Amino acid sequence: MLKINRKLSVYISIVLTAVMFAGLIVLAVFMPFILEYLLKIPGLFGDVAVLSQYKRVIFYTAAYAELAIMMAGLGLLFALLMLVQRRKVFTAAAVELIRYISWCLIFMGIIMIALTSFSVIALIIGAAVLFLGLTVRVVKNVIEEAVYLKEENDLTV
Amino acid sequence: MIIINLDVMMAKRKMSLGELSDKVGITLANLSVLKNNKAKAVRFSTLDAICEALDCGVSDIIEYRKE
Repeated sequence: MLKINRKLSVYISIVLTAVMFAGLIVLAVFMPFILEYLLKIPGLFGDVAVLSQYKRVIFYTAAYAELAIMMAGLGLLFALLMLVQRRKVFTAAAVELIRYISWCLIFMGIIMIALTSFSVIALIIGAAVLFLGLTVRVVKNVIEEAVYLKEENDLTV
Repeated sequence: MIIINLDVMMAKRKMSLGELSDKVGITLANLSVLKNNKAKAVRFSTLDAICEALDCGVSDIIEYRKE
């Protein structure tokens, strides 16, 4: 199996984060077109003709809120990767970042679930994202414990 | 609370931190952590080496004081 060294791996993650951030900016610009296209797919979001202006506003708001939260999450990921690069990942700062990332995921999941009235797919995706958020939260607990152990080890003479 | 009296013993033996670090075989940084009461734990091997280097007992270095 291809073995990638640690530094290169972090570098790849940073590049992927930056690429995804750029992708989100492009997505934000073309969002109205994409949303209108999605709304026209028969059956995906119910009958378009029935979709009231009020519901349309909710749909757009949710889409942009998801995008904003994802961008914030990517910023947090970037900060976390910087900590990894500086070999300071087992610190209280990193734990805090991971905690915020988990909240980002949980909020995204909640927004998705709130869109269930539009489409059942939203419920499934929302539940998956919520589960991811919970997983990240547990990872945060694990890292927190590791920080404690590291501190104790560092201060053992 | 546990008080480390390493500096007192070092003064008595007229030994510098660098000299003690050489004799004990732990880094200057770690010895400073111990001397400044910042350590969370001390290995028996470290304690053994310090007592050997300073020619003293454990109670000369470590003391318990009621808070």
